[in-house]
Amino acid sequence: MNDTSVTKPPGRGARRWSSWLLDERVIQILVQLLFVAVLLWIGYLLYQNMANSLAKQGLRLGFGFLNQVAGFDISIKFLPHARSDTNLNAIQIGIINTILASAISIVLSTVLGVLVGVMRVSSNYLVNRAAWLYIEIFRNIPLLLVIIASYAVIVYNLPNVNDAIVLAGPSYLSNRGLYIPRPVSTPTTTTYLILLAVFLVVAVLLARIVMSRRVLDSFIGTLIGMGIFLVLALVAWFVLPQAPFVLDIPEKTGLNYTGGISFPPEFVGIVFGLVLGSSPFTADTVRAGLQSVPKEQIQAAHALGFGGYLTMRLVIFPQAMRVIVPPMTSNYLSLTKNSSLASVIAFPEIVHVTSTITSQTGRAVEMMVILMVIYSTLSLLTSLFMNWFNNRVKIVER
Amino acid sequence: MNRVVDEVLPPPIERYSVLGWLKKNLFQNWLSALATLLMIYLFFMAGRAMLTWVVIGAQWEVIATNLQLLMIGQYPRSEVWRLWIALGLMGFFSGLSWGIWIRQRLGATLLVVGMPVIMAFLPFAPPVRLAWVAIGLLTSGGFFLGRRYPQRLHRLATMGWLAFVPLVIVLVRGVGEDARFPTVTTNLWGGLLLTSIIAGIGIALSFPIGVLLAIGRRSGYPIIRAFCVVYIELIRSVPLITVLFMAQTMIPLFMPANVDIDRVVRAILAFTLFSAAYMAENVRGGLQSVPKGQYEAAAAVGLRSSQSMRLIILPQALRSIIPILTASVIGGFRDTSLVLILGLLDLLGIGKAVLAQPAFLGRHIEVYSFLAAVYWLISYAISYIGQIIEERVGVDAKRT
Repeated sequence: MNDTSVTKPPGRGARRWSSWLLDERVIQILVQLLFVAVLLWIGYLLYQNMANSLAKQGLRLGFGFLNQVAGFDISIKFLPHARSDTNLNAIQIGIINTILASAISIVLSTVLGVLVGVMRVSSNYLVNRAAWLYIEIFRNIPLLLVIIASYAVIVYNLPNVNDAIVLAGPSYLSNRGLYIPRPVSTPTTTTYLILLAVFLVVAVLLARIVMSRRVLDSFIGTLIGMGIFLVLALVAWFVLPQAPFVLDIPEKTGLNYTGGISFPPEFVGIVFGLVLGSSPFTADTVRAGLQSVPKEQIQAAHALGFGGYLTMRLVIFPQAMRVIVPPMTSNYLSLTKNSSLASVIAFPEIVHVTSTITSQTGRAVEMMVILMVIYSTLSLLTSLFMNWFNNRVKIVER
Repeated sequence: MNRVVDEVLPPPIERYSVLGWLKKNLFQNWLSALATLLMIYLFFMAGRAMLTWVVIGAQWEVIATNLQLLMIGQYPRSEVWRLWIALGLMGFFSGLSWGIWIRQRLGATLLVVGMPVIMAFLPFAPPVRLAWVAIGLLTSGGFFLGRRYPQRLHRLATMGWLAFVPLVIVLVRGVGEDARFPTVTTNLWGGLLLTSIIAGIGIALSFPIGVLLAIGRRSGYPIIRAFCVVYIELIRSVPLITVLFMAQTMIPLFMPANVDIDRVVRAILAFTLFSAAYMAENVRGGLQSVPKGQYEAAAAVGLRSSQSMRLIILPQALRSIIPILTASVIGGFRDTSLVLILGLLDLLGIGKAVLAQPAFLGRHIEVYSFLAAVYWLISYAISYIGQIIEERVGVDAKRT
């Protein structure tokens, strides 16, 4: 045996400090310490500068200013608000405007997006191409341009109040915005609402009974329940001595409409722009979902004797939903964030209100924190809802 | 008697006559037929209305008069030659790259090489047409060079694109006080020029930052990981518009009193920091798609973790997300329009300014359609290039 060819394993004492420095664990700790040090140093510098500039303006960090009088008017509000209210009130009005604009846009863009997405997979060549054209055009144009252009078209190209476009309702669309009727409660309203609650219970029970007699698909059961509920509700409406709601219909007085609910041009503009700008993404998601179901599945369903409805309901829909819902969540999240673009057309949503407060009080840092909290909360709520929905529709795998 | 089927027939090849095609795609059943008729009616009405408007109704003087403003803003007219040089460089490198890497697509090739020629035939002022002719020559020269010596020139083309953005900035901005090459301050930049500069720098910078953030988010260093997670999630929780606003009000607050950062630089900074967070999430998706075995194999052959990331993991990760990267580049390009909120006169901002000219009040549909067409064309071009890259190096690309 030749011992010289075997290298001796290095003993502990032989380990020099340089090799110790090259140990991966030590490097890991050193790198992180260095990183923290650099971060702290940069943070310190920035904080120092900020403290200096704030001191120059005579400000100190803190949220006390929220209770001061805002001193500015908000042009569009769905709750009463006055110039003398506090900054906090103004922020509330802004949040409500943001939520309202995004919620309406989410509903409308989903309806339009699903329609276009289904058209996109149609076997009819022209229908298919029309959907493709719509998606391709609006997906490649900046959303801000779409919003600004819709607002301009509403203000400059819609007829004035005298020749307003009459929609169902009656609602009126003019360059002053959209006016829709508003339901007003009467003395019988409370009774009616209680009756509705009772009817709901009755309808659910009846639907359960009907379904237990025959093997029915749960969707049909839901339809039957809804039918029962609607019939009862209609009957009650006319049986009550006085209708539970009357409509406050907008009427033209002088240069504008009064009564009803009014949506000013800024509001209509942002909703229109958001719907046009977001629905292509929804449509594309729906298309991808529908196309993700293999053709063989549909052929197999037909071979088993399923008709169009059953194939759609039991084979395509559940599998497509699994692909559609997760990206939909992020579509909705980005739509909510994009509603901030409304501040460009002077719609007082949260970013617009916040920047007004910032310019009046100079509280840039605090307002940024508030905005982050508000948008994170909105995102979180949307995600929670969509996760709940996803759990409802997802396939239970065995 | 058993008959053995020893020959499996291929499925029948679908062949249609024109009538058969019509029947299958337009009149399959009465519902489809109804939809077809409705669509024909709608296409006809919309097409007629649009054509009538474009040819007769629209008054395009607003674009013709302000074309230069829309393209370059208030950039000094005496210095426009620098922009032409930048455009020429772009044409040359595009042609070169096209000749080296893209060979089959005849139609698109003709378009790339022929685009400047088409521009030269449009009724611009004679010097402009001359400039387009020069750019056309440069582009086709680059194309033929690239086609002739692809092996020798592909390194040059790569280096050229890497140096392109800094080179263009130097050209556009100028250096020093020299009278022949004076500095053009950023408040004079505008129009498509400003839009492309913000998009170009923003996207070019946010990509490496995003990759670093994504790697950091998956790294074994808990502090670095926490920092990356917090950064990405904070930025992604707010809209771009607030980041821009705050960059406007907060960057001066955080800077020493004597330092003043230019407005355009502030916008680019905000834009970069914002897109980097989104880029990081895209890259993270790619990193997750690389199987664990690849990491282990890289470690097994003795690569350090930085080497394994650079040589094994990142190339595969990036290859798998090319379509997503293309989409986010397009998204970034469209999002640059938000800088108008800061009062910068980018393409959209200049468009709004043009509409405020007393002579062109109420010409908003013309202006906005023109802007939409420009944005659309550029977005479409980016997505086309993305498709080509995907075809050549993407996951499904055929290896040769």
